[in-house]
Amino acid sequence: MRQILLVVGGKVMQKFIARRLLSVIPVVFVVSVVIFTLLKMVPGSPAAAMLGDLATADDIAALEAKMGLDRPLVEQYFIWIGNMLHGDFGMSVVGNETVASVVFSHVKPTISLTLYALVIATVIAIPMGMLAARKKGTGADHAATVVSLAGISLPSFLFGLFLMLIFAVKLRIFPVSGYVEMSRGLWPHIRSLTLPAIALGFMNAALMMRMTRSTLLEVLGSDYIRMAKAKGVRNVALVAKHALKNSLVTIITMIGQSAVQMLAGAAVVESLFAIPGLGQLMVNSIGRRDYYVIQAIVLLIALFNVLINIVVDLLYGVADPRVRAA
Amino acid sequence: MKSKKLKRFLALVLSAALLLSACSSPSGTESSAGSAPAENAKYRETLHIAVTQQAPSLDLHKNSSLIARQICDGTVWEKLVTLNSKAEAVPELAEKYEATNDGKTLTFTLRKGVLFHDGSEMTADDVVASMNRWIEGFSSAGEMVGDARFVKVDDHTVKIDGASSLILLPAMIAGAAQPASITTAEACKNEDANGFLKDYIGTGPYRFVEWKQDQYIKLERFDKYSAYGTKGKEMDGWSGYKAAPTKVLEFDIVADQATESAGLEAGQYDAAFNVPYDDFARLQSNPNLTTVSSQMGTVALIPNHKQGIASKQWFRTAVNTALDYDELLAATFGKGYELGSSYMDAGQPFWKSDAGSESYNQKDPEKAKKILADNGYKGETFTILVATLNKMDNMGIAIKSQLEKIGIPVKLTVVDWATLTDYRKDPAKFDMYITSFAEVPVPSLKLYFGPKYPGWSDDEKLSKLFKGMTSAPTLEEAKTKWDELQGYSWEYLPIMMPGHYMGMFAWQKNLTGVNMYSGGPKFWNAGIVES
Amino acid sequence: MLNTNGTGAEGAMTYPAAQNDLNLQRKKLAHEQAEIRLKKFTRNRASVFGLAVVTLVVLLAVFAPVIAMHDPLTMNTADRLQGISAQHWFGTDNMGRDVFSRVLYGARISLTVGFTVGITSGLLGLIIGLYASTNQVADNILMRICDGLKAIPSTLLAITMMAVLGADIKNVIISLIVVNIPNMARLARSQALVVREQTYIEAMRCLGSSRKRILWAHVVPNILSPMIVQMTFVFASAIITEAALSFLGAGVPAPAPSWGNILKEGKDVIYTAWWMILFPGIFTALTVLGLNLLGDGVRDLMDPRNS
Repeated sequence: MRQILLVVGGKVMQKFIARRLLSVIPVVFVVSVVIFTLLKMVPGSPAAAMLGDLATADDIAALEAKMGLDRPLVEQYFIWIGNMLHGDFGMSVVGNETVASVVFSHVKPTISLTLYALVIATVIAIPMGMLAARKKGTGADHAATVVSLAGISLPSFLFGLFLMLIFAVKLRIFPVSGYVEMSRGLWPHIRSLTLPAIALGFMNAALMMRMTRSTLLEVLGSDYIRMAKAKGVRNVALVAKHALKNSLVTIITMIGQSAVQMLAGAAVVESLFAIPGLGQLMVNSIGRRDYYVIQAIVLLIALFNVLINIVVDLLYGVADPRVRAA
Repeated sequence: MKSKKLKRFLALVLSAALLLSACSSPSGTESSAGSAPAENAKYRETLHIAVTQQAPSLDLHKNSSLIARQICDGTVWEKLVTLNSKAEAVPELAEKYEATNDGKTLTFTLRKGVLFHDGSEMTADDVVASMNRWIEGFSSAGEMVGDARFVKVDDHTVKIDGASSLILLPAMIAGAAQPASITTAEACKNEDANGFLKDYIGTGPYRFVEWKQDQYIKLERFDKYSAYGTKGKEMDGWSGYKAAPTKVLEFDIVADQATESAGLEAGQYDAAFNVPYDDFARLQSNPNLTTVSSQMGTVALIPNHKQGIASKQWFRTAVNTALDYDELLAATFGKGYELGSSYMDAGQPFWKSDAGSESYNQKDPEKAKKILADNGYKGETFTILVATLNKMDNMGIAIKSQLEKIGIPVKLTVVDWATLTDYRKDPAKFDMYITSFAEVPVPSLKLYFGPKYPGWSDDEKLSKLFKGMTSAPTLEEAKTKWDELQGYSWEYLPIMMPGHYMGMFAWQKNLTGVNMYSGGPKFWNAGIVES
Repeated sequence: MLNTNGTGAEGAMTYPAAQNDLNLQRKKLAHEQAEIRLKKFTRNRASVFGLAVVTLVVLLAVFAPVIAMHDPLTMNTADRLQGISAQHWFGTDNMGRDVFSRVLYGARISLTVGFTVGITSGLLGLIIGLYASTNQVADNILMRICDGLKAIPSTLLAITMMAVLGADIKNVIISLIVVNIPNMARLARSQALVVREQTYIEAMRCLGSSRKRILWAHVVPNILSPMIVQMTFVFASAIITEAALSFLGAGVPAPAPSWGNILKEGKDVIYTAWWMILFPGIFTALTVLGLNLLGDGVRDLMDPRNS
């Protein structure tokens, strides 16, 4: 820990961090242009969705003009960017809410779900990964590998469906669907998120288990571990103390990347279990052509993504001095 | 070591949580805790009603989504007149109304002492503002009244003077897809940047509380509701006494139909809208559930009359002759449909017509092939546009499969709904598109009888018959004209109408008093008795 | 000294007789190495299983017209949602079509999508990554664009592209290629950079080998193996992503029988027709599992540390 602080505080590190932070800007710019252009290329407009299926072409055109959708594209882009810099993210197409409010209310379920899924994934993956690494080559290792590969191969929505059938309909342990806010009670909140969290977390558990295992193996095979072994350190302490500590960096980055993946990939699971989170909002907003909402979400996720990458790079920089010099 | 201990602890906590949740009862509705309604029966305080769709806005003047009406029409907002069981317009917020001057003038006398949710009393100013806003936002109404608008006669009387007969207007007010809801004059002026209402204030038995996007819409009983009719008497259609025994109506938005019916069976929801057709049989046999199925609307195959192969009458006739409508409907709706050549649905028995039924569902591919051959059909590709909304693309697939058997090559363009509304503006993009129309109270609300609506049925005789219907001085005469119009339609084919689709609803057996008159359940007198 | 490809470096002398001898030895060595690799591979039971599964699915897909007893598109609404029977080994779906045939033909679609996406994104990623590794300016621009694309959630990017391009199997492929290129490009670039830092490459530069020659003759062959391994994984993930896209309604359009489509329709009737979920689900999972195992096995083979 002290070592990390020492390194981070250093001049080289500061330049490194500054350079990385600066590189965020072009990435976010690219993302904004890509998503804006892409959405404008999609046929249809929010006006059709807002007026319902019996609207006439004239009604739709009138609303589009009112919403400023007939202005030149470049102008619309800069209007959007300009407004955002003032903190105005636009209005959602549904129910009179600002984009900021809509996104905020949908972020909470997704964060809960992702955290829960991460906890489940970590609790399964890391001990199993450690076990598999320790008992490499034995039946336990192979079984663990196959199970983890099965996890990667099973689509989350499929797994979710099976979970729902067994645990919600047949056994009635968990609610079939729906989301209960934390303010309505902690236990109901957790219950409503359990099945989706398992469905979401299982795939990541599998990925993390494999990574844990391979990282641990790498570390276990390295020279200084062999030295410790030669010095007579007992096996359990070995794995736990030295290997884990040094694989920690990799494991943390893995958790970080899983988090980002889950955040973005939760769309299908959220739809299935009726969790009103960011993923479901993304998917629904495309159908509604809710441009401002989609654009805001994409920027949010992109920003989050980029920040996680910076933290990851930072940790690698701490671990490996060669990277800092690059 | 630290991280290992932490993990063990977390695992322990999680398994404890799982155990605890397994022991507690499955989540259901809360039991009432106190607020007793007026009756000697004690009702559960909240009803959880699962719905699969979400309207973009609850502003009923501007938005034709079915779910918005199902939740709010008659519940949050009421109208001057509403539909009775015979689909006639009977007074609700009006005390009475009369048509004079050959049907060109309608005068409505308003009830007194009706309160809005904000506490103010309803006056002619509010009615005039609301009705005129409705006309501006609903093009079918605008077409019927032209430039005429509602005017105040005195504090409790309004009237409208049309240039032609307005005999069909009351039915339109009572049951149109964009309901003529009455709100306050202030609310009418308070619109957002897109022109939608910001405040949802009505006179209905329930007031709007909260809308959490993608989660639920919550309505709560309005204790100062001015009921009409006779207390305790059963409602006649949508008209009558609304006692509102349940305090809170919570419409839970469930994205997925399968989870909706699962939730209903697990007791998580008290009622469910639009359960999937294939689950219906299973739900029907469940002794704890009441199931209802009713006609919700018609499917319409709309040919391009402006250009392309479908603009030729003989081609349309050939297609109509060939198609097996039964199979088309089964492929799309499973068992959730009913055949029938009447353009109007079962909920409007007054307008039922068998005119043209000899052209309906002929399923005669040989005859169709002959028509094609006789007219020199050269095998041009027939482009069909369809949206994935409500699984209508299955109908496209079925049509393609049937038409290819008689030698018509079909190109199927499958898009989402927003794209379809865009593509159908361009006659070069399709020869026929598939859509559906929810039931309407009067046939003048059918949008496809003119040259402007995509499909562009620009036919002199069709327009003449339509005008004849809408300008008829009495309802009986309008019906006669409608019969003629429908008969001719089965010849000219402004649309091809395979049949009617059903809406299927289910609720817990102990939920009584649900009004299933038209378009979906209403909960004005519904509740679960608890003691 | 002789350079590695044996054609003689500029200025060095070659001796024909010794050359032939050397070539023979080299061939023998390569042969032995291949044998060792094969032995190693076959000893890895998981990889063999993976290869077997993938081969089986490929065969089923290729011979689908022969094996399938019905046309996958033929509807028969009277036979809707029938269970498993002698007539219909996997039952029928909501439009009366035979699920077994649809699963077999669906294999064609899923495998085609996966394979095309894997190969194309690999090739394009290779080219982009290589180019970026040679040119600083290009590197900055290309990598920023890749970062930008990667930052957009892949499901959203794919759905939006489908909405723009229209529902069509080739558009699904295009969307998935776009989604996968950034990772491939990054991989190619970083691997290329690693190789170029190696001493023997430096040595060759000193000797005067052209950059282009170094690139194509040395860098590329050495980064091919990790790229191929990654392509296998992209193949697998493309199959899952296509299923997810179809499940959300934005994938291969009906009536084409992709596994994702069948799952989507099956979800709506899960209580009455579980077979529509079970069979395509098993096929998807097994195929992806097989590909993952295969990729793992190939990667273990290529990894010099595992000798």
